[in-house]
Amino acid sequence: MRKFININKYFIVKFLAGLLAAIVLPLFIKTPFPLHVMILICIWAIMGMGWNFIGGYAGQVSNGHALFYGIGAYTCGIGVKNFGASPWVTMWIGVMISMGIAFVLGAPLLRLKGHYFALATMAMAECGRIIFLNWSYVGGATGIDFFDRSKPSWYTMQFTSKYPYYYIFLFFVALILLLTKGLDKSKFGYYLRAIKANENSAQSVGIHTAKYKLLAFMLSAGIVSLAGSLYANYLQYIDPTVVMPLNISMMICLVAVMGGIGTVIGPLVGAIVLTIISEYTRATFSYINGFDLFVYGVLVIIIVLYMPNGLISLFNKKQKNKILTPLEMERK
Amino acid sequence: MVIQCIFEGIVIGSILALIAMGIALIWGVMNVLSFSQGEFLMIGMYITFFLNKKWGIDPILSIPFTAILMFLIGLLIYKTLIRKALKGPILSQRLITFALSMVLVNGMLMLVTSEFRTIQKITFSGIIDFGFLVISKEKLVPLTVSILVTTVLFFFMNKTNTGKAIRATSLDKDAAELVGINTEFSYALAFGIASAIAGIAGCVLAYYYYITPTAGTSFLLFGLIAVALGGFGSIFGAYIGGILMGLVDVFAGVYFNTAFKYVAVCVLFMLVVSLRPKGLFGK
Repeated sequence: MRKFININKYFIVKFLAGLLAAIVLPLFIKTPFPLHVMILICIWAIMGMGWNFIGGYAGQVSNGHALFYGIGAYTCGIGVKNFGASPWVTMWIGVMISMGIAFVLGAPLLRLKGHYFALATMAMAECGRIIFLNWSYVGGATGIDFFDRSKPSWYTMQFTSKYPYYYIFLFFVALILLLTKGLDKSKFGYYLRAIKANENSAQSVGIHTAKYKLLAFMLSAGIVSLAGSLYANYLQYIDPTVVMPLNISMMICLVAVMGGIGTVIGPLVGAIVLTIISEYTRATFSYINGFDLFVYGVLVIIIVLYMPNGLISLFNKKQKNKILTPLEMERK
Repeated sequence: MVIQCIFEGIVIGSILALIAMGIALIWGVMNVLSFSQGEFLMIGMYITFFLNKKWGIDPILSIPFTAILMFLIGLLIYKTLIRKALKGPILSQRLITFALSMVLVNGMLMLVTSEFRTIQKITFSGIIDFGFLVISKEKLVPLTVSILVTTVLFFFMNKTNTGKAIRATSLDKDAAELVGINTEFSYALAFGIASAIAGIAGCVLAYYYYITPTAGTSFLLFGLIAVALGGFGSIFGAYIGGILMGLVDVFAGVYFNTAFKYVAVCVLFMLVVSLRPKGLFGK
């Protein structure tokens, strides 16, 4: 039987050590702010890893994943507010809806290449934002506030303490990290890399490129939607400008690029660095309007400019003598 | 009503076309999707505003000064950031222009606060009433300037040697270098010109639009879509795309719902690129 999941022992040791560290770390934290930062790291890591499938592995850079993030968030919000449904169920409904939308829109849009695909996905996300902004059923521009204390907190996934959130989110991060690792060395992962390197050659050796691109797009939409659901439950208040702006779409790319796109651990590293930078600049420099985002932008420029292959390239010395794809050779 | 809509659409479209041409130039020459173009427009608006406030200079007269200043700012940004970024992957180039726009918006927010401003002293104001069409004179300015700038740009790109060098660079960089074109100079020039055009768009937009640090952001998406609609790197396509975008914007706003005009624009774009993946005028 073909081994579907190809995970070596070395990775398992590293993974368990990392997980243990992540589990133990909050026990030493007594103030809420660092924990808040860690929760956001989890959210961004899930989003980055989700985007990584289509943007990193398959090389189809989408700039519109905020749409799926928003759909995930809204499904949970409406579920709790209008139907009293548990987020544990509705988050999977959100995943289904997102994958459905990705399926419908992905079929025509994935035929586009490069900048055209980026712009089309951007237009898709903007469409979604405007529709949600003017749709009275989902609260329009005022958004929905679905704070609910009438049911047990494990049912509504609304806790007074930040610790349960952190552990739930960490569980999903670990799950998706394992999924990425499993797919990294699978047939699916290699197919996507082949598509990224050269789509025509991939097709000529018999890879059904349209199908695999669509699968990758749906997978990434589902994962990003999951992140949206989790974030909505953490915030308990959502409106279109919080969960669907263009900035979120761009920041998802940024997370993956900063860590290293098309790698297993890259988005996680990117999420850690980027969230720490963004949250601490926000907390430190917020006394002047705009100063925090100014500093954040400057830091992003510096990191992307001097480490275009991501922070992961600092640790990966193997990168130097790896086999280059034709596309990379062309660029050299 | 229809004629009025067409007029308003062409006015907005002519400003979008100016931004779109800058984006198309950068896209065509160095294959970068520039997210900072809207911010150059915003800086152009502020330069115009402060010239007007300090010395009472009319926005039209400040066009040459703004254009030159924006050209220099564009050159500076190219030399410090973009040239280095061009060596990296395509995605990181795009993210750098995005981060740059973030820096410019928030830097402006720190300098001038988020207050909404409008230009007070302008020469052209009032209306011309044709009965079937009411033209406010403020809106004739963007139209005229846009047509002039486009003509000059076409002339420059098609008739002068420097313009031809830029076009050659955009067609094939290596071949252009082989025949002795300084491609580095072409890149810098293209980025500078794109910034200058955005600055000019800012000048004429300041005539009747409110001025705020985030004013450019709403024009950016339309500009980008106009370029993609027109077709890859084609400046003429970008101009037509811009005008079309303006018309759709106004017609959807009047006949459907103001809120859904963005949706109309986005849906139109997605439809067009699904049917013609290279845009309307792409080859």
